[in-house]
Amino acid sequence: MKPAEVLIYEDNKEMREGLIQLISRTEGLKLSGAFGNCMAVESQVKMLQPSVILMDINMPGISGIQAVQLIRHFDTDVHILMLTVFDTNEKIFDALCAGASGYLLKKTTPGKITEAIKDVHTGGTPITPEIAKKVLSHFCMPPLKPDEHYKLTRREKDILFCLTQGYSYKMIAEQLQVSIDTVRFYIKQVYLKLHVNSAPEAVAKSLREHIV
Amino acid sequence: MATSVYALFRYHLNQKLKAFQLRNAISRDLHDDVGATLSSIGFFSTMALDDVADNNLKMQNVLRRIKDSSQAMLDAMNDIIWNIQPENDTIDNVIARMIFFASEVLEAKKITLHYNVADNIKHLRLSLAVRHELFLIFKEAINNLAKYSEASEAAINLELHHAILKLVISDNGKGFDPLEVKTGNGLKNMQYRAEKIGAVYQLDATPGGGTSVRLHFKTT
Repeated sequence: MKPAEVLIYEDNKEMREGLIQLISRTEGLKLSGAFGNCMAVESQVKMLQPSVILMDINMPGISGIQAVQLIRHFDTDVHILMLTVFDTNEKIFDALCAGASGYLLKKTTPGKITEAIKDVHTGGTPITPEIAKKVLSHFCMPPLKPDEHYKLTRREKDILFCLTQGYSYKMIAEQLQVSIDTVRFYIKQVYLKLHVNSAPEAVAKSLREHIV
Repeated sequence: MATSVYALFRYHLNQKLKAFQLRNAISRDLHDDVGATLSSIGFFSTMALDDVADNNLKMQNVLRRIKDSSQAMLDAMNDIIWNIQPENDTIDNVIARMIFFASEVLEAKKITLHYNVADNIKHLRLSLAVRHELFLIFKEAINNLAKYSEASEAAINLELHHAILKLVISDNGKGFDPLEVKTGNGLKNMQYRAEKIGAVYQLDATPGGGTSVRLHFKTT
């Protein structure tokens, strides 16, 4: 299997260097590039064509979230994992709405980080109860845009609710009598619907094709 | 006259708000920087551990201590920041975070988690200090369970009777003889934290008979 090409955006020098070394020495991963800011993110992503982007949420100049929006305008396939020091809610939720595929805490051990990168296509990293709550209430609010018609299915709502209670994927699978892969799939669908509801029309169009 | 007094008031309020926001921004940036650098220390020591010779136990020890202490600090900062956020101040947020934490730690050790939270607890409001110590006692108990119990099942029970909050964490593991085990830092910590918030802490264990940690806290 082709190694995943990873592009890093991280402004803390030590952290960036640590990630560079980690990716470089992990089998199955290949370093595509590393930058300390997002000033040229559009041209960089277009040129390097990574399969996974690690994007720091807090960056000087163009923020991580703005960068995600910029990228999603021309690429709805690349996986974007947000990097954040702490699991404080507001920005992570905004990043998910902007089109991030998931997030990683910087306090996560190196082993788990590489695991998350490799598994990113199987669908999202587990979200905290607080973020699950924000996602759930987002879908319960009246739609902001006239063409916003993506609602959650019963199953998806159940899974999200379990997440708000702190359940792990395994616990949800047991509770709802489905496989863990099924749980992951539904969560992926939820993220997609979130992106579609929040994304500008041009992006939303191509995202809709991904929704089952 | 009244309008100019009001205008002055508004001006001062705005200045205070700006200062507050600046302090917040500085604090956030500081946490970001400290967190990112601590994280990178963890990265580098982990990579060094991978590279160091198998027989170089001295070096392994040193590297492990560096890794563990930077990770511990990161976790501690994370918990504090989570706790001070106003939207996390109801007990069901704390409980969800407890379950989230416990399920992750225990599943990694293949320990099945059973839990029961009474319905009447949902709207209980606890002070910041109590939430903080409660969560940390819980974390310590779960970490100990995962590390030492060799259990296959663990149970978390949270009830509210006559304004007393009762938390019980138990397992079916190998237990220990309380008289034999010198109170390690972890056990003393839980005792200390409980005393800080005026809670009653009790540890029950018998060799081969599992372990249970009990915490009773008066909510009035």
